[in-house]
Amino acid sequence: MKSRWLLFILEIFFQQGFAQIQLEKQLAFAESLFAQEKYFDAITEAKRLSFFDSTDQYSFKANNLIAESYRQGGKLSEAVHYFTRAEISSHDKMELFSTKIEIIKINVLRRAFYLADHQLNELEKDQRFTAENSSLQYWRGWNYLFHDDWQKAAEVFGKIDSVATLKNICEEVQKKKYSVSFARGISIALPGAGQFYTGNYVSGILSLGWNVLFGYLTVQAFSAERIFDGMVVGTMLWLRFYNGNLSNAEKFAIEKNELIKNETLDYLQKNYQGLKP
Amino acid sequence: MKIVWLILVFSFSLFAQTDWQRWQKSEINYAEKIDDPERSYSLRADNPFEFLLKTAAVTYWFFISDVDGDNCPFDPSCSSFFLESVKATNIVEGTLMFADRFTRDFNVFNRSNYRITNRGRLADPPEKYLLSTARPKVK
Amino acid sequence: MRRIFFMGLLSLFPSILISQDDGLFTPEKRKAFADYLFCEKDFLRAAEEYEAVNSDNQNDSLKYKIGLCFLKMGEYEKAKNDFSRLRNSSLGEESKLLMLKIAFFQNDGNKESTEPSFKNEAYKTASLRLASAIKIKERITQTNLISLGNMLDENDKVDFNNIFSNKERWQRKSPFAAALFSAMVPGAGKIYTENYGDGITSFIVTGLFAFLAYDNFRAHHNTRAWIFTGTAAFFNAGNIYGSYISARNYNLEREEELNNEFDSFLNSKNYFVPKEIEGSCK
Repeated sequence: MKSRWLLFILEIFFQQGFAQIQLEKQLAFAESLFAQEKYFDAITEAKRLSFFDSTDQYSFKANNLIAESYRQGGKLSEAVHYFTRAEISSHDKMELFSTKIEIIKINVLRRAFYLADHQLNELEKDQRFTAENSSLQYWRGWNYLFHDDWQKAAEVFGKIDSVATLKNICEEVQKKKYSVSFARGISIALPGAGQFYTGNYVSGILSLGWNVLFGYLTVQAFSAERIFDGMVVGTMLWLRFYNGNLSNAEKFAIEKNELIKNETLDYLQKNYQGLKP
Repeated sequence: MKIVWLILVFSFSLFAQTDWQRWQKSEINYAEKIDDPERSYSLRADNPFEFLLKTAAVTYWFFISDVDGDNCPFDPSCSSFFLESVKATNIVEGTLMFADRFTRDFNVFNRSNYRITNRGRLADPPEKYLLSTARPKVK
Repeated sequence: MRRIFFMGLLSLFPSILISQDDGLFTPEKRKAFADYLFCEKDFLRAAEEYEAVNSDNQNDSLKYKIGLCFLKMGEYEKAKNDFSRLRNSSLGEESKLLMLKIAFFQNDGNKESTEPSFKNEAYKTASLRLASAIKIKERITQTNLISLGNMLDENDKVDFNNIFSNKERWQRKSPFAAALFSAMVPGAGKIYTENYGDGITSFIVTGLFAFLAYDNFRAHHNTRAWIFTGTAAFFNAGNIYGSYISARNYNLEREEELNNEFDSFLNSKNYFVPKEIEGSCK
């Protein structure tokens, strides 16, 4: 009788152990596919792991692997979805924190600035993660950087000792950028000046030329008391080219800034060695 | 917690389609995509007439249209519409289409029946106004 | 001694089992996993799993499931291929009905609609309705719609008639009339086609240049007068052309609306195909 009981207990023990080994093998399989960059298949196998994992003990790892695979495939919404699932099935504080950070990184990358900002604030308020403050600041810096707010990014990176390079890069961009309001301002005073400021000389000369010509014709018409002609030339031509001059000055400054931003982001993506979104 | 799960399960089916085709690794660029230029300044043409027309258009763009501000709410702009119309039909029909478009450009009363493009302009492609097309995709 | 030997044997047991077992990849487990994926709408993965289980291509119900996966992903050619091989199987009637549904999506009524011969009454009704819908999709007319309406159940019939008896949907504008109106009064054709803003603009623009032409002729400024005449003529010609096109586009838009309504009605009825034959999920 005693040995029967023993057998029964052993049987259950082995079966459980057996199932455990199978799941462990499946996780290793999914991870090996991931390592081979076969992300679509890695997801399939991680899903299989989840499906047969009746006690959800691999839920965190499987969901994390799926999320990571989607991220590698550039499918960010799906990645966030599975990181959220991983977050729900996390076992401890650090697992929870790491998935939350992954979600924030993706939101930074897809330029969901306010969402990432909100999530960072929530984490900052959370008593459990006070020790992780510098990590939060780091990602906050990246969030500003992707939001094209280089000054704030530089300020935030400035608070962290180890990332002086990032701070310098941000400050440099801030210096290099054209001021849109300055471009517009000087074009108000002298048509074409804003275009010269941004280096669009041909457009600047054309703007100046048209404005001088139509300004002259308008003034001439009024001084010869041809009021109707003066009104027509003034509103239909002079004003039109004057406004065009202003919007061009602004447009060129914005375009140039866009190029500077993209160049820097591209540089960071290819050359920056530290943690990146 | 249950509600979170319910939301997760329902939102899942929204993007199930992502995996209806196999996909590969794909890196997201940090740099933001800059729109292609709206106009092509190339003078490449299939015949001398088209070359003349394009030269006129490019000259107009260079000296006037590019420096007189953003006055056209449509995509393509009136001059591009004219070029495309003539290319798709002939000089007579193209001119008629252009005259009609020009009038619509003056319309300040109601422009609600156009689709808005990515650039925030009103979609108004010449194909919509061709006589010959039996069934153009409307809007 | 015997007990120790016995324990030793037992401890070897799991490793023996593992070496013989396919783990999570037995046909039963794969099928269960595939069913789960199917219900998660992860159809491509589901199809691949079903295919792996059905590598010898013998199991009709698996083949049917694979067809369903392709159907749901909109891969109609592959789905059709699977279903057509099942014509004479125990799932033949279901397969034929789903092929009819595909014919509807592919706008291809020629082959399937003439053929339906169903023993199952529900499928038979569904097939007749679908065949009629295919005809309507080719050319949407009131008579065609009435004939389909008459085939529907009472409740559906009310919905259906409410959508399609609306007179505005059937209103059409004559392009020639629009052009003629604009030739008589600038912009009138556009107003006739309900493009009021464009109509009024046409009237003002053409009218303005016509007036300037008239005024200059009166003042004997002939060159200017002719320039204004030309401009007015240019705008009016465009306006006549535009009115013709405007009426044609009005009609096309009405037709597109009708088609969309028709499609969404059919979609809400699952194209008359009983939902349970498309795989049941809890």
